[in-house]
Amino acid sequence: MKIRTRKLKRVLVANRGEIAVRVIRACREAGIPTVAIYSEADDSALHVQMADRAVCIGPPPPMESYLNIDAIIEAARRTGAAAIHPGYGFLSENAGFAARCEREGLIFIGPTAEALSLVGDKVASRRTMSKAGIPIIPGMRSKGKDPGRFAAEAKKIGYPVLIKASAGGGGKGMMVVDSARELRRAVEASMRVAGGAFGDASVYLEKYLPAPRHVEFQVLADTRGHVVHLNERECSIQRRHQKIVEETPSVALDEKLRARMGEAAVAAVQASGYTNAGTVEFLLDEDTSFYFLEVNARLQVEHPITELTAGVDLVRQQLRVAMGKSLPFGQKDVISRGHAIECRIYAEDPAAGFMPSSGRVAYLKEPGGPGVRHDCGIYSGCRVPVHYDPILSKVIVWAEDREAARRRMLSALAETVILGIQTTVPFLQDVIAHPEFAAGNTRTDFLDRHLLPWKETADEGTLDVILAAAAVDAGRGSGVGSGIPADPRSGPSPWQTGGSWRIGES
Amino acid sequence: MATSRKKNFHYLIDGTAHDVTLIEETGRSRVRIGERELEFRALAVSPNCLSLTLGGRTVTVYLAADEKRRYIGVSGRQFVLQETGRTSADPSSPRAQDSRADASLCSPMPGQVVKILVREGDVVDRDQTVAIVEAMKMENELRASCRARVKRISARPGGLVDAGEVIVELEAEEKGERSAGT
Repeated sequence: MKIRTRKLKRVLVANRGEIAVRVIRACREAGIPTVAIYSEADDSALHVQMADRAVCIGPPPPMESYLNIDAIIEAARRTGAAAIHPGYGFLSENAGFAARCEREGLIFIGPTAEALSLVGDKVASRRTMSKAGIPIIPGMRSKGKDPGRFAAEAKKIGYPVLIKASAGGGGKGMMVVDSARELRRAVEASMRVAGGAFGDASVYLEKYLPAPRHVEFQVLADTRGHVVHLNERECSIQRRHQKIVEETPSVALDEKLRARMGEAAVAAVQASGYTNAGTVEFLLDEDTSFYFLEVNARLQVEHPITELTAGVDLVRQQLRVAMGKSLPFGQKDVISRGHAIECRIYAEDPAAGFMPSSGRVAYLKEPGGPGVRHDCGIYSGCRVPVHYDPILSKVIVWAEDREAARRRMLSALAETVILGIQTTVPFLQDVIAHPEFAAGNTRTDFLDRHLLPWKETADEGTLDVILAAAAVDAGRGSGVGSGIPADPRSGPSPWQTGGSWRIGES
Repeated sequence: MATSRKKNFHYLIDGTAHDVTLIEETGRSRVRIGERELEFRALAVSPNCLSLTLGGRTVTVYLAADEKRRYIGVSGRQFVLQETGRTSADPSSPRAQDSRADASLCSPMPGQVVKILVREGDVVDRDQTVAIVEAMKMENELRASCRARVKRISARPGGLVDAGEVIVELEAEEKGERSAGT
């Protein structure tokens, strides 16, 4: 059968924040005009500024904007977009949305609606993978709402158990339950979060493995039957089941295990008729047995580390696959060079139990230098709304080996300046600096064991610097507190001068 | 003739008061922090950036401010400063004030009240979850800072609250710090 290739004459990016910016850049590089969508809370957001056109699709709540399928389809029609890139989160794994795009003659940049509904339903995909001979975690093979069924299954497999959203991702709605007493409330809370975040309140239960490694494989599949994997990412550093640090390669894999897991990942993709970019997640136990966790049918937050070690632009490949083109390389061409680490920067206050921190970014300075990449959705002066995921940006580094990458990450985090809202940067510094992280002893209980609860520590020297800087700045009259930009010609007094003078040199 | 200019500043960081004095003499700049005096040099790189040499070490410091606070960043860490007109020894300075019987539960961030788990007249224990507020798609359990009696419920489930807005008025049954956390 001959498959025609098609042009993407305009792409609508159905997302916000750093991932929308990432996708817009890839489209620009490919010479494809872009359309941003935004809610009323995001009218001055970075992704809106970067796209060629932008359409307001509704009020701030996600259900009325970034999850509002009718409004998004209407925006695509009005702007003449031929394709929609969903990013991650929001509608990226919503089979109903992909099906609607197909019906409307729009290209959904991702798998088909059919494949999406198969892998997107975590419970159905557990059954499919099990049939294909891929090991799965013990637990429910169908979702439910009846608390009695959850209690019975939990009793059968034994506590602790994990409640998960069937349509979920990013750890939302996921709850660990240690005893029968807590089960009902956890199931209710999980259903509430799942309903709000994904528009589907179904949850299920599986055995909770307390300290495995989280190892996932990046896959790419074109529409002509070619499937490759691009090696693994280890994402064991998690808080509340949400990844915060990822790296590749994993210290826990040797060539043999990597080959076995890679083959399982490719088999998982083939079993579900999956196309475009995706990720097959596994839990890896101490004894190197691994269990299929789920297929993430989208671009992952942590995709850049694979891009850096494999030398492949995943969003560019997504666009090519959507155009009907063949993958330009086969499995034997896939390489992994050096080591890459990503740190996710969230608008959360790590010293206050990771409370969300919204508001105005008073100042931003991005990190730089060789091997440092910053995928960023904010700018100096922007507002971080309360309605969405708290991810602000990602610091990604590449170096020749793990230790060099770790040191580069420490340096890059120290260069990252986000003022005005609380962020996880200082916490991430402590994670990367921790001797157990340096030793590669990364398991999903890492943070609970070594770093939580977290308190910020400041030595006297740092406090001196802070206080002196505040006073010097206030003393120069035109400092930040006055809201007036410095003018080097503004007068003879050193306190009122903002140019390149030195106090103490006159 | 040597001239000397002094300027005093009082800052609150994380609830602790600090006194800072800038001392400018011809050819020499010093800063007095508490009891210590340190010589410094400062290069204003931009309105938001100072290169500061203090005690022989040069660091790049980033600064920003809004109506209420100053934000200072160094080596990836951020410090939030509030300027106060009072010295740390002043009894009316905020730290010197003792926590009162009011232990009311305030929302630490803007969000939506998901659930209120107490009724008026209830007595709650320290660390007991009183309300759940959702923000940025995460449910945050707000706990009582001390053993307290529920005086009034000021917010409704489903309602929106601002940062600092009282959700449940609590009256302390014992002395405790006013705080909320997950």
